[in-house]
Amino acid sequence: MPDSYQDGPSGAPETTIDAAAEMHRIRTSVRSHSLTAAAQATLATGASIDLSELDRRIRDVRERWSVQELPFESHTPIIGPFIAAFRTAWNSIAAKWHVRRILLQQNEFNYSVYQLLQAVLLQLQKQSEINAALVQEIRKNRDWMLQNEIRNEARQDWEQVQENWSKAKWAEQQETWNHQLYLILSALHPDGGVFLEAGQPTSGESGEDASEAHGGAHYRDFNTAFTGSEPVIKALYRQYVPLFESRKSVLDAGCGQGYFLELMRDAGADSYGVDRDAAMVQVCQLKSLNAVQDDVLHHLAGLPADSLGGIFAGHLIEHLAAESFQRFLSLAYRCLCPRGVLVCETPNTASPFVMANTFHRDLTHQKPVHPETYQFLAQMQGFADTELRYSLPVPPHLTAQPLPTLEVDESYVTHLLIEANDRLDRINHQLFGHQNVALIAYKPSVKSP
Amino acid sequence: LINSTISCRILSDILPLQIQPTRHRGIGRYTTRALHALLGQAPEGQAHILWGSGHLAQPDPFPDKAPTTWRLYYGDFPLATYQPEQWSKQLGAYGDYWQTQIDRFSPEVLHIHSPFEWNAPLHSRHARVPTVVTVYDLIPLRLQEHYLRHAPNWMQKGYRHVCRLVQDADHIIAISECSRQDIVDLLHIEPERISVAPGGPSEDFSRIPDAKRQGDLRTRFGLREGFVLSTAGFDYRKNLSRILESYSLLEPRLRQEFPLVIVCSLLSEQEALLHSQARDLGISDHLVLTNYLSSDDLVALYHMATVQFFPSLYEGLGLPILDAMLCGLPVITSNTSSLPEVAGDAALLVDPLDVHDMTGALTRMLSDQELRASMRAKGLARVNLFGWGKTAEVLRQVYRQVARPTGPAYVPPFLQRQPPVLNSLAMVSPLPPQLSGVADFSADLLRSLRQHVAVTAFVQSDQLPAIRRHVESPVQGITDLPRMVRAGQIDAVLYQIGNSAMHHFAMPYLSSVPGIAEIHDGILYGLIHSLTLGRGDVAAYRQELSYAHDEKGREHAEDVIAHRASPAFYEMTVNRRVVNAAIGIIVHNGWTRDVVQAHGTNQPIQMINHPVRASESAYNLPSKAVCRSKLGISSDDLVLATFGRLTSNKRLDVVLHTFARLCREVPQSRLLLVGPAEPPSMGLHLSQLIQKLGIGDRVQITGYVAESDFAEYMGASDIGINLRYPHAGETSGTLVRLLNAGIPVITSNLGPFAELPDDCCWKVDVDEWEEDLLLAYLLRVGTDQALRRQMSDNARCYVQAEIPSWDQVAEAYLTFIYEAMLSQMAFVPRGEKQVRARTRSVK
Repeated sequence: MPDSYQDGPSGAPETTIDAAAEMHRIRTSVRSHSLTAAAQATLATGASIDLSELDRRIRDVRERWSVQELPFESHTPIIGPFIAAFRTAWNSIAAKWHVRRILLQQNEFNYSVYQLLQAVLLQLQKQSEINAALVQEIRKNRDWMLQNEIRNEARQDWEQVQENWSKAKWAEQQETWNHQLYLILSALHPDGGVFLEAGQPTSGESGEDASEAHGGAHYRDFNTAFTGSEPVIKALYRQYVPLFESRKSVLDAGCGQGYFLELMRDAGADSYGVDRDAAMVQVCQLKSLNAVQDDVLHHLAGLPADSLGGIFAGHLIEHLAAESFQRFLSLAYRCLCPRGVLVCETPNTASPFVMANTFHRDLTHQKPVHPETYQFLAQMQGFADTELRYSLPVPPHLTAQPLPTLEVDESYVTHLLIEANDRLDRINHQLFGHQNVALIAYKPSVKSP
Repeated sequence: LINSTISCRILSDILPLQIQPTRHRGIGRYTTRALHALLGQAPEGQAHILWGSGHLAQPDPFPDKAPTTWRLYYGDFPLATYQPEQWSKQLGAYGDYWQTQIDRFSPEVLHIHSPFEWNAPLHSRHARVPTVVTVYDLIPLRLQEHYLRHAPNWMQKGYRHVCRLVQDADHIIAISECSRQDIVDLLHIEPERISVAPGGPSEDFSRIPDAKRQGDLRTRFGLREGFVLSTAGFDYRKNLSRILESYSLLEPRLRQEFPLVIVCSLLSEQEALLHSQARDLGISDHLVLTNYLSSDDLVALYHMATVQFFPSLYEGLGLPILDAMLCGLPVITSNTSSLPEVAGDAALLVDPLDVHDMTGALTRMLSDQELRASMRAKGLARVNLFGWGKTAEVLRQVYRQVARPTGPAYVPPFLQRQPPVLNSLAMVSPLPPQLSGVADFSADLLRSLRQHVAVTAFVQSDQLPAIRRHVESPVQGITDLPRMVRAGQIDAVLYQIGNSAMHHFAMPYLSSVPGIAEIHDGILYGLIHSLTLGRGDVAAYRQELSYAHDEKGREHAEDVIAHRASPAFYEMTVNRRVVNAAIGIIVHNGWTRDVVQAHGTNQPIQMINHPVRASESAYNLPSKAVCRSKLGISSDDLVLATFGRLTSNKRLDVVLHTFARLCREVPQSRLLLVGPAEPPSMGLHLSQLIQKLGIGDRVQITGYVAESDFAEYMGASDIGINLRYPHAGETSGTLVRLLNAGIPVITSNLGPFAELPDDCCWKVDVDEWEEDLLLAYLLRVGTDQALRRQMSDNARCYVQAEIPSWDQVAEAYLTFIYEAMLSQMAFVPRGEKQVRARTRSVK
């Protein structure tokens, strides 16, 4: 750089420069000189350079590169052959020594030039092919650009342009889409993947409903195979602990391996469990939890009225048929003290994801009942302040993810993407509802007349 | 003050100037001429409020001679989507809508220019406003056999209904004595309630057309010297068959010499019908059908013809014969309806039902040159009796006669004061910490204005706590505005309007609390789009686009809604709503002024250049060396910089690519991107690109910088780069700041940016040469210190001469706001009207 960029204090320059004129000069000059003229000519006339003429002339060179000593001929009558014979003999003597030599050199040179020309022709042919490919590419790009212009200017060409244009831009998106759709489909298909039943299936507590063929040892195997792990289940049950903390005589109906009882013990609350399965009860007793082997309904029927502070039934009621559930409700209502609480956690049958993956996997599950129906039945029984609490959302990676927005500054695409994502959201909302729902109900403090 | 003397405000519908095909027919021509004559020299005491529909085509521009005595407003009733067949159904809703317009303006006179347009705002409930109705003719009643009887049922009913409404009008304008007599006879209206205001010839016809156009027309239609000219329409009363028949009865010699030229818009089957009639009559060789002609061609034909043959069966006035007389063209016309009264003795009159009479008149006129000469002279004398000035005088007289104050209207107290006072201003705007250029602008303007008047800022209510922490009181939530206006605590309202969702909150108040609109972006598509379609309100989007861009807008909206097209964020202005509601408009550049004025509305508009800070001027900034040492930039480097938010429309990709090329030529160059990336992903994109181009050590992205640092960065720069595409008509505040700091700038050759002077601000076209040109500029400016000094001096001169400082600008604002309010006075209801609850008055 010849020039320093440090400007001194501003003073009048020595000579005035017409900056505006300077700008126009540069602008005109840059905008007039460009490759485009030559390039456009090539684009207009065709891709390949015409090599046929060159080829023909190189063939010509091949015919002639080798210079031969011409036989001397004489047209003089009669003595002509003699003269010719003499000249030939003389030439062979006189020229042999130096002309031959030069001739040979000349031929060597000629040959190498011919070779060179051949090589150039070959290179040119290659170049021509490359040019053709490039021109093809440029044409494609140009067409694409033209189509873009047309799109902006003339709406009627929209469809046709869209076809080419969107193909290019959406190819990438398409893959993402397909993947998302695959996920949705596989989520809906029962064999699509392994999903935990995110609760603690209790063993067929109600003898009347869970058919014997599917109960007992078989059920325990099933239970072991499909139940969620201890920490997962405890994490889910922990949310209900505050509801019971300050209460006396809390019953865990269908206590299974006693996860909830453990939580209650940790919280220092007074609780005991009932389960029909002797092995489960044994497990509880090994953990020194208070558990008895009995049928839940039978057990409740034997209790005095207003004797329980609260009842927790984790994944029990989906194993009860409608009449049994109503009986369970009425027994629970009778046994609970005023302001006693009943919590029944069950798979959320309002979520198609649950229905497709987990609910029907358990053969002892009864006909699915809508959570709001449970709530309604509880209200009919006389429970007050009933509430449905949903938990355990479907992990986001199993749901349809929003499409990434494009880098391209194209408002139409963005607009479409936003709308597509909005729709995906709605699909997610419909398909991937929370997996569990808990019915929470209180026995009123004063009996309604 | 001219305005204080105005006692009569006339609310005129201009639908005949908007509706197709009426605007090109007689009624459209009559209304245009009459209004032009009225507005061209509105006298003291009368002001005109022209009411058009935003959903119909825009009227041709009005003469802008007396902007203080007329205003054009666009109503927002979806007229265009109504079918005439639905007329009776729409009547109720439309009447209600009109009542709100009348309540808004409370005019002393309502003038309906064309009652028989099916969407004309004529309604019996308007009776409490003195109503003037122009009736052109009652031909459908007069020639019932040929018109009304065969019309569809809705049309018959509708026509008779409108006739009854006309009977209720306070005064009728008839365009001829004949029409007046018809109105008396058929509608039984007392003659005293009817005034006659005939029109005049169109002045276009007095222009002598050039010889070339005449020659072209001769070639085009195969004409020789003379011909018979008939202007008509394909309509029973225009008498086309008898014109052909009477012409066919002429002597062959005359037919040979004078072919028949019929000027008339024709459908192809109508043209074929006329040709077959001509064949039957044996005059095919002598008949020329011009079909539609431009007005210049029409004038030329009038000047070339030998005689005008206009034997119409019935005319309300017959403007074509006045046009012919003005051209010195002898006229043959009918002896019926208004035609004898217009023609007087300056034409040959014939019985339009008697073919032989018509042939006789043609023969006399064509074979008698002296008769033609005398008719020419008489015609030129006769036409002087008619003129639009006289029409306008009759209308003014009628207005004076019927005008009376009408019911109360709600008018903000500040528009009732005579003369207006301006001690307390309301400014409706986003303000910091809201992130927008307009918010920053308004904060500066607020400070400046408060040195002269009390200014209350009104902001989006949910932003109030945050803004109160940043901006000096008083700041109020927008919902307080109407209350404070009613309480008389506000003297004027200044709305800051820009193209973003931050201005949503102001929109509902624009029309209910009229004020001055400062339009920062000529294009408001983004604002309207986010307000409607962006919130999922498809119907509102359709309505807004239709209102702002009539048919084109409707089509566009449908396309966008159906995903056939992308929203035209930078092509359609969609600013009519704001422009229409404002009583005055402030803009920052000529581009935006032009798109605002394109609506044909004529409220005062003022261009005020985006102000600058005196503290940042080249004279007050620290020297380049000081700035650089503070920022740790070598004094040997060539420093290029962009300023402001790094958004996608600043063309930073182009800047970076070009800069990478520049680095190869000028290794000491540096590029500063001063400002935060928006959205944040833009920052990621830029750093990736910088890395890819291998210029990481030469480019610096500063992120957000405080105001004082901003000035230092400006002071340290050699060249500012401020490219922009697309644009919404905004003026870049940072660009003006750079010029103020004496920094040579390179910007895009577009819209408002192209308006800046070339001698300090170089322009790059946005096209395939953009990078090459930017590089060439940078090389030239970057390697020539003398040129940079010159451009820097030019920038200072420009700023000193043209750009106000924030301290100076308040005066320009206050002067304009006061003038705008003053000029609005003429259109505000007069008298002792107080704020009263609006009551619907039913007849």
